[in-house]
Amino acid sequence: MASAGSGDEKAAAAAMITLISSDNEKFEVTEATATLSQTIRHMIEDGCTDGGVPLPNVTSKILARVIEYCKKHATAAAGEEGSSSSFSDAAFLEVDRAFLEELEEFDDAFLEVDRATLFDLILAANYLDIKGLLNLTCQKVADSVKGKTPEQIREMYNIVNDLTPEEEAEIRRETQWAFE
Amino acid sequence: MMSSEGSMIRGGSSSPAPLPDNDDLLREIFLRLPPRPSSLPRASLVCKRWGCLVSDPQFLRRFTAFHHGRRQQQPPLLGFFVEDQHGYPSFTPTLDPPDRVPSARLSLQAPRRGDLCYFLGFRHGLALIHNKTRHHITLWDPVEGSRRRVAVPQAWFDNSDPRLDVCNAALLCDDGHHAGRAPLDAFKVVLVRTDDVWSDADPHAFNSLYDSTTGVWGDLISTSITAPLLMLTPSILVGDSLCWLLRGYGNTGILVFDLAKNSLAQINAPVDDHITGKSRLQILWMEDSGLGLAVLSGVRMQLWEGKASSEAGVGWTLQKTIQLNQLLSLRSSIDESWAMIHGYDEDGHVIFVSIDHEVFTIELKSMQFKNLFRTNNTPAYHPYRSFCIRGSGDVGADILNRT
Repeated sequence: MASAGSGDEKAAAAAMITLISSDNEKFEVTEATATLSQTIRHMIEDGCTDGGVPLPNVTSKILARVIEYCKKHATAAAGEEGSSSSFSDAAFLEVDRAFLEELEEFDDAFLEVDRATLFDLILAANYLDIKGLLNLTCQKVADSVKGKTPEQIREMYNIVNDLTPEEEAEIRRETQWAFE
Repeated sequence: MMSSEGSMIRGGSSSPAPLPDNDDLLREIFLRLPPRPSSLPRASLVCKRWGCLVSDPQFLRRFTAFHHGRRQQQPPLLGFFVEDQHGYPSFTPTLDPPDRVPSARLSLQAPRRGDLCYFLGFRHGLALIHNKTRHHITLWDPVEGSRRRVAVPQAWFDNSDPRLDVCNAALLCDDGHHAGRAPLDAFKVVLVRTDDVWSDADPHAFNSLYDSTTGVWGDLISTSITAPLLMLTPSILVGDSLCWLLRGYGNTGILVFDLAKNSLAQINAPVDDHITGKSRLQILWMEDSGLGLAVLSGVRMQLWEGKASSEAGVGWTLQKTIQLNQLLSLRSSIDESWAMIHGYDEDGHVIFVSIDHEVFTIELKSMQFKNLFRTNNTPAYHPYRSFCIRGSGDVGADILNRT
């Protein structure tokens, strides 16, 4: 944790950070939740979070979703730390496993959003540098093109085919095997 | 549609939302495509931007590193290479469509006026080829089409004298290439030659180790041997040691080059009534014990595991006997005497065997097998694994003769 060196870990865990969305909405979150974002972690380390952290690239709608994700995963991270340091018996592992399953279910439900929201979450995860969220959302997009033809992918994501007929024929000739 | 106060608010529109207009984020998405050969070629046909991003060698290395890092998984076994009549690696696919990469996509084409070459094997996705005419070793990466060349040290290996020329070689890369580095950045090559075991009174094997980071060939080291080293049978990496099979004139042994100790030695092979001159042998890398040996005698395959004992030798125990006619449900009319081991994939513990001209792969861990095809040829197979194939672009024919 960013301020673990202070010697007062309880206070640090309870410390609250205010995040301010692009549409000026304020969100109070614990430092543990906020520091899942490397970007915010660095801001806290640099001591520039007094008066709130403005996030001009993230709307309140998306920030609310991002915070929902971070809250859930911050709890998970805290649980993991506890289990690795002091618990190792089978009963605790069982709890751990159940919690991981619950986390997976949460992630699946979290991704049940329209494409525009998914892409906004990718941009926010990238801007805020939240590795888990970036992985989750990018994997969702990658999975969506799995097994699709180039035509289907273009249609899905409104991509203009800017290959000339000659270029397309050339690539098709070289990669015909991948479409069999 | 962009709003004035935020870049990410979009109005409700009927046209699909476009993907983020950001190459880094597109790469993050492409990295997570399934690590199958067809993934990137398919993506490359969507538009120019996608094609450029997924064909970039640096991206291909990241793709490999990413999927290797995930659960430490092995790349899929795409097929195998054999040496063609010019001494060049020629590819045969073993995956099903759409991941069945055609032979021409990965094979190295011999130039019209070719040099005399020998294809010595694959490790970490790189082929090792000895150009006997020009006396150099070429490393070739079939995915990127890149290569490196190293001159053979003339003082220790002489291409004008068959007894002093390179007989076998092995390649080693540090694991760094999985972290997204170019595989040709850091590698080691071991060259081996041997005396004539038939006519020399005290025949020896000699080797020298080249390290690309220093560009220096190490001193020649040697050990006594009792059987010849086969030219076209590749080494198997067992822990820190490269192992080659020595066989002939009634003797069998394993030549071991310990990289950590920089020492060369012949160790004993197992002795058993079932191991005869007609048995086919293959050195294995066993996850638990290290060194292993498969012995194929007709349709019986024995798997031995070797443990170093205090007496400078190796203690061998028979771990498993597999009746291939039962495992593979072979018909009773097959010619059991026609049983061959064609090659071994040390990364996945998969062995290539043929019984009565039918070629099978057997995963020795799970005993899952696959019937590949019929063949009348008996070459050495060099299994090839890769997470990706470049979407387009030439594979670099004629590279071995280019300077």
